[in-house]
Order: sequence, then C-alpha cells, then structure tokens
Amino acid sequence: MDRRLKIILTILVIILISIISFVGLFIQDTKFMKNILPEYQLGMDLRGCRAVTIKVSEETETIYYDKDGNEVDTETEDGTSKEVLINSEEMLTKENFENTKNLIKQRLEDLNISEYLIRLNEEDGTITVQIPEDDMTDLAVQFLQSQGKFTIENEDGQVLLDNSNLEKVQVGYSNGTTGTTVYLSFKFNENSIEKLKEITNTYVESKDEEGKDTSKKVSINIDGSPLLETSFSEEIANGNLQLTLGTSTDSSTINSYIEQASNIAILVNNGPVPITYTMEQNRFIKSDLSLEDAIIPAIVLGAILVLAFLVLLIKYKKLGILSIFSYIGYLAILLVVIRYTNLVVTLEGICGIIIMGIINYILLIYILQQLKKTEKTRNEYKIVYNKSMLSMVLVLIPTLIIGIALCFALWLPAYSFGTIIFWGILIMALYNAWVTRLLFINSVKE
Amino acid sequence: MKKVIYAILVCIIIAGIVVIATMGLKADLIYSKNVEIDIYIGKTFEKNDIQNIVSEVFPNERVIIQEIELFEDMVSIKLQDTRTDEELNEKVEELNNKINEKYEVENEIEDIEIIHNPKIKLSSIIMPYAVALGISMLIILVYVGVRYRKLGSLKIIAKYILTILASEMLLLSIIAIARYPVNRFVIPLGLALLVVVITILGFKNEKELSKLVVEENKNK
Repeated sequence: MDRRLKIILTILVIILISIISFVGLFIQDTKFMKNILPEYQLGMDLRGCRAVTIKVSEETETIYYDKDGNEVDTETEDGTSKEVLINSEEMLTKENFENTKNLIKQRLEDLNISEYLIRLNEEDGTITVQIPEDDMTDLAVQFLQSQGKFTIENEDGQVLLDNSNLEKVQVGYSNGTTGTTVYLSFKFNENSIEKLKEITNTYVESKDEEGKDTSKKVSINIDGSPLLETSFSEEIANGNLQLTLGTSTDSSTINSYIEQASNIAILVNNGPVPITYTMEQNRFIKSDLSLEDAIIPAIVLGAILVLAFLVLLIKYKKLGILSIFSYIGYLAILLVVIRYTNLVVTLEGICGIIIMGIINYILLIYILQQLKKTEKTRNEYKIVYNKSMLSMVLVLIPTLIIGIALCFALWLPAYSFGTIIFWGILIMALYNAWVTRLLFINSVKE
Repeated sequence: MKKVIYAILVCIIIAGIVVIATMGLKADLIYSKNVEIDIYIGKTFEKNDIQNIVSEVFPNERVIIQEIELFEDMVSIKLQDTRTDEELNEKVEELNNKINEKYEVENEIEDIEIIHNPKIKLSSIIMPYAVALGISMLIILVYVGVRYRKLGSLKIIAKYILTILASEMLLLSIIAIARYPVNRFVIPLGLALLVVVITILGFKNEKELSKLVVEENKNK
C-alpha cells in the first residue's frame, strides 16, 4: 500500500475513534438517539454520597421487679417497674465511642465498601458516615445501626451463649442430591465447647406418647430477632454449630443464601457494638463539584494542550502534525477503555488521566527529538524509533509499578488512580509501538 | 546558583516541618469540624441564588452548598463550626427568612436540620495509600538499582529516595507554610508529583546510561 494512503487511513481511523470517544456512538432507540458507549462511573467526590448520621440512642426500657425487688421479665402484681436508659451513663465513654467507630469501619471494609469517610464526635458519640450510592448502600446503612449481638437463648429468655463465646462465624456450602446447601458455621471458643455440648444435650428433640412435640427449644438470635428456633437431635462435642440457611439447585437462589449468610457472618464476627445507636440522618447528597466548576480548569487544560500542539507543529512540521493526531488518538482510546472497563473515575483518576497525557506528550517529544537527529530514511527511522520506544518503556516501568501497586489498594481513589495509570501506560506502549510508529515511519520515503 | 536553590529548598522544608510540628496542617472545610444546615425548599433552586443568600448571611466564609436527594428541592449548607448555638441560631433564622422570601415558602426554624459534623483525621485519608506506595517504592528501588547499576546502584537508589522525599516534603511544606487548607486536591497533587518526579529521574538516568554505553563502545 502507498505510504501516503497508509497515513491517511490511519488518521481517518484516529478521527473516527476520537469522535466516538469524545462525542459518543449513537444509534436510533425508538424516538430518540441513544449513546451506546457506557457512561463514566463517577466516584463519591464527583457524583455524591449517602450521608448517614447515627446518634447514641436515648430510648429507655422498662425493668420490672417482683414484690421482693427481684428483676422479672413481665409485670407482676404488687411488683414495681423502673424506666432505665438503654445506654447507661457508664457506657457512654470515649473508648466505647471509638470502639463503635472502629467496628463500623471494619464492617464497611468487610462489605467491600471501598470509599468512605467516618467522623466521630468524641463528646456525644455521634457518628457520621459518607459512603458511595450503589447496590450495597442500603445494606451498609443497615449495618451501621445494627448492634451485631448474637445470643442463644432458652424459652425463658435466659442467655445461654453470646458473642463472647464465639471464636468465628464462617459461611460454608455442601453439594448433595437435593442441591447445594448453604450453612453458617458458628465456631465456639475453647472455654465454651463444653457449654455448647451441655446445651445440645439439654435442649433435645422429644415427643410424648401421643406424638406431640415436647422438645426443649433454644432460639438463636441476632440483635434480639430470632434467626432460628431449634432443638438438637445429636450432641455437638467439637464446638462447631452449623445452621442451614437453605438448599437449592438454582444458582441465583444459592447466591442469595450465600450473601445472606455472609452478611450475618460479617455482623457477628466483628463483635457487638457496645452502644445502641439510632438513625438521625440518611440521605443522598450531591457532590459540590458540578460541571460548571470544571469549565475553568477544562479551558486552562485545553489552552495548554493547544500551546503544546503549536510547539509540535512549529518545531517538527510534518511529524508535528502526525504527532498531534497520534496524541489525540491516544487520549481517545484511553477514555474509551476507561468507559468499557467500568473504571470508577475519582479526582485521583482525573489526575491520572492528566498525568498520562503529560507523559505521552513527553514520549512523543523524545521520539521526535531522536528522529530529528537521524537521517531521513525509513530504515534509520525504524531503528531510531524502536530504540527510543524501548528506552521510554524502561523509563515508565517505575510508574507502572506504582500503578499496579495502587490497583491492589482497597481504597477507591487509590484504585482509580492506579488502574488509570496501569491502562494508560499499557495503551501508551502498544499504541505508540504500532499506530504512532506507522505514522512516523511512513512519513519518509524508502 | 544550584547550591543557592538547594539551600532555599532545604530552608522551606525545615520551615515546613516546624510549622507542621507546631501548628499542624490546616484542614479544608470538608475535613474539619463543620456545621451542616439542611433546608427543605420544596422547589428546585439555582445553586448560585443560594450562594448569594448564604454570602449575605455568612460573609467572607468558606461554604459548601450541595443539593440533597433526587428531587433537588433540598439544600445542604456546610460552614465552619465556630459559633455558639445562640449565634448560630440567629444566623440560621436570618438565612431562613431570606430563603422564605426568595422562594415564597413558609419554613419555620424548627423545620431546619442542624448537624454538627466532627472533624476527620487527616491521617485516615492518607493511610490507605501508605502500604501500596511503600511496597511499590521498594520494588522501584530494586528495579532502578539493577537497571542503572552501571551508574552506581547505591548512588542511584540514594538519589531516588532523596529526590522523592524532598519533592513530597517540599509540597507539604509549601501547603503548611502558606496555610493552604488540605482539601480533596492535595492527595491527587501528591500522587501526580510522585509520578512526574519518578518519570523525570528515569529520563535523566536513561540519558546518562546511553551516554555511558556510547562512550564504552567508543573505547572498545
């Protein structure tokens, strides 16, 4: 193919990709045109967040006493009662507030909420949490005010075992003829194995002569709500209590059982919150950064880019024009990849895009400088281009290392920056090794 | 000339360390102790109009105005929590009157929610980056030590450590001395600086290395 034709075709492809990336790819959808390119996923800084404020509960509970002054469960004749605060004065300490904050933080991390802000008012224990608005938000909000109190109680309401007896809770599943069974495995600590054994021997399944169920039952509760009422058919001597959540052959049902079990495990494993909280505020707050705020920085960046293009044009003439097309094509492809990989763009991510733009410009300038020094033959251009590209790739390896390391950070802004740097360098290396090389090398005769 | 510039930079860094040690960094409104005033307007509004009203009531104060919920008929106004309850209530009343007048609503002061938001520890925002960046720095130092061994591994490693530390400290010092509030742009700026410094160092070393190789080839 003629070298000029190759250049024209490459430029046309670049223009096409740029139009798709910067404007969109529209198709007719009933009456309207619809952009089939995925929308940018925006982080908390740019989109907004769910702001939740929880306050120390000021609710009271009634405690009943019999005529002798002993505490009883229900009101008795001649007895007395007293209203007491759910959270006693002694419980409202800075240490307990701090513990609650740390437990909430741990729960959010276990729920894979990768961006959050937690504020604690050390004087009154009020906690404000900001989390991204997505599928997990409502569950996370529920977790903020749940106490995570696990109890096994008998029919009289006596607590037989609680969180302090637990070592950990795990989610498990097994495959059988009826399908996959999802269960929660409560592993009790060394000191409580005997106690569990005793309970499983006391609260056993039984029937009277008429076949009526006379089993002594226990109730397994989370935050006071019964998860299950059961009696035991056999002794548990290994300290491992398994609760079946459900059996199914349908994968979505199995997943929902696993999700349910995981949520209980997260709640119980982190231990109970020492203080009871109530919801004060729960609302979506839009970001204070709007498109209008982005206009001035965008104009400044645009002006800098135009100046940079002018430098390329004046200093390198024909190669300068080709570099401009190549540069625009690179940015367009990077933005399309960001959309298609569903990368969440945060302020750090935007910063990553700008940095990639700067580095790609430096790379082009470096290659152009090397080409300027060399003879204008295709072979020489090939050798110099390949050499310059290789040394640029070696220069970029440390930046790539930072990008990869931040990709593994469980913190969305860091992840956003890291993944954009990673994709940016990868695309830069491939794109310039192919497209820019094709443009530059075909700019000279054989 | 180079020495003078280095001396100035060292002085800035020392001054910055002193300021951070004594006064600490100044946190932006978003991270500092603030008061949030949530007002239900009941109709869509222009942020600029609210901004003008807020500027009249709280002149020369940094405020953050955000729309609440999907219907965009409620506004959240955040400002520094420096007033007593009495002073704040007076101001909120004034604000409410002006909003009532502008949007022809009849909000009572009791309808307005006032939330005191405690500050966020700046370390909690920086810490999530620490492990990842620490590990990547170690790998980078090993890489540059091997890649530029002809230029002297130890010298190169020392150069990287010093340059990266100095550049980040310089940024932090300037922010501390200028009492520029640490906001959401400071971390991206720090990350950008890190990447740019590492790239520039890479360029310089590659150039030096290629020069050295050319010289070696000539000598051969």
